[in-house]
Amino acid sequence: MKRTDAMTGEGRDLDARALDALYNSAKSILNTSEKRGLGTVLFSSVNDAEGTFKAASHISYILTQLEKKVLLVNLDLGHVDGLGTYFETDGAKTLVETVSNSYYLSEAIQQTQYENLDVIALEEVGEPEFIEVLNTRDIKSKLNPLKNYYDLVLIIGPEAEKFEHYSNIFELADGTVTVSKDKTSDYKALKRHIDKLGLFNIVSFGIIRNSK
Amino acid sequence: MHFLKRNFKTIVLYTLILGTTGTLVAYFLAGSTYDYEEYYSLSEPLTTTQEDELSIGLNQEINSQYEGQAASIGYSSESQYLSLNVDSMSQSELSTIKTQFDSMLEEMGIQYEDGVDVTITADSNAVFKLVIIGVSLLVGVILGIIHGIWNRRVETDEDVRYYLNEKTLGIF
Repeated sequence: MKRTDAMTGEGRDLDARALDALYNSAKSILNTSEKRGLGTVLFSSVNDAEGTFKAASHISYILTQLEKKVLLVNLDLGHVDGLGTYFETDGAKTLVETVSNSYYLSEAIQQTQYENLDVIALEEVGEPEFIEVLNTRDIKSKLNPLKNYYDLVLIIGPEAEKFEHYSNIFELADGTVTVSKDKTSDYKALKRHIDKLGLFNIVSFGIIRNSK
Repeated sequence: MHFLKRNFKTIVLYTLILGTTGTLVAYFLAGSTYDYEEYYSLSEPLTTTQEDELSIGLNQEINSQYEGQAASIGYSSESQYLSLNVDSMSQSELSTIKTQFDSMLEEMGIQYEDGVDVTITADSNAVFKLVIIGVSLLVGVILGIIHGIWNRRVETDEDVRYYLNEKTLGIF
């Protein structure tokens, strides 16, 4: 359901076909997360940021239609405008600035046009500064209270081929979905990325294929 | 096994394309040579010297341009007929050789009437053609396999299972 307050900023409508295609994926993620007590799910890819944003955004929306409260966090520093593709926000609050000045990650939360679907946006930031924030600002602990308030926290990670220190992202996730674009995929690179999950004891829900 | 299943169509396509190209090459290149035999009617029989001069002239002026002995004469002593035999030449080469031979006869002052009996046989070159087609098919298979190895895309659920040991959660 859409909120009635008008928001500034631009958002596009969700793709009905994608919603249809990802319905079962959303249910599967929800079911497994509830059974195993998983609070955060990471959406990542080797080289398909657009597909990752699309999958995470549409699945977030489907989860709200299943009466769940969802928080979508953008940690893809290569695509800081990614959330704007589907969501309208006032754009005032961002992650790095908030955690630099406050103890509470919740202060970075923004509502979207959809009820029960909130986002945390990321601003333009260099990779070294971003990694420092992840390491020194204890994002992992700050996410915990949010996991209590939201049924699921979905995290959008950067493209693995452009971001070396993925361990900083993996440690935030309880479960993970890897998005792969058929036309540009490389099974060796994907296998390398997926094998790293094993090191962090993360539950892999599987692969979502972007067939466009 | 998965490799073959995955790349079967690619390999077949490459083989078909290369095989078709090879067949066309075989028929247009390999099939375009001819054996030629022409009888000349002589007003007077050739002397032994003239016969030898003709052979020498053939070798020096004509055969020297081609690998092997392309053109030769056939003559029985005191005969009124002289044959010119050419092996495995293209049509343009045949007409060049005939023109050169006719000039040689004229230079030697031999009077003749040509075109008495002309036989042109196309070389079948069957073995050569089969070799070309066979090699093309083999190259097609090899290229198809190379393409399969180079193609590391994950494009089906089977690829996800086989290469990544994961399941497909969804497709959009």
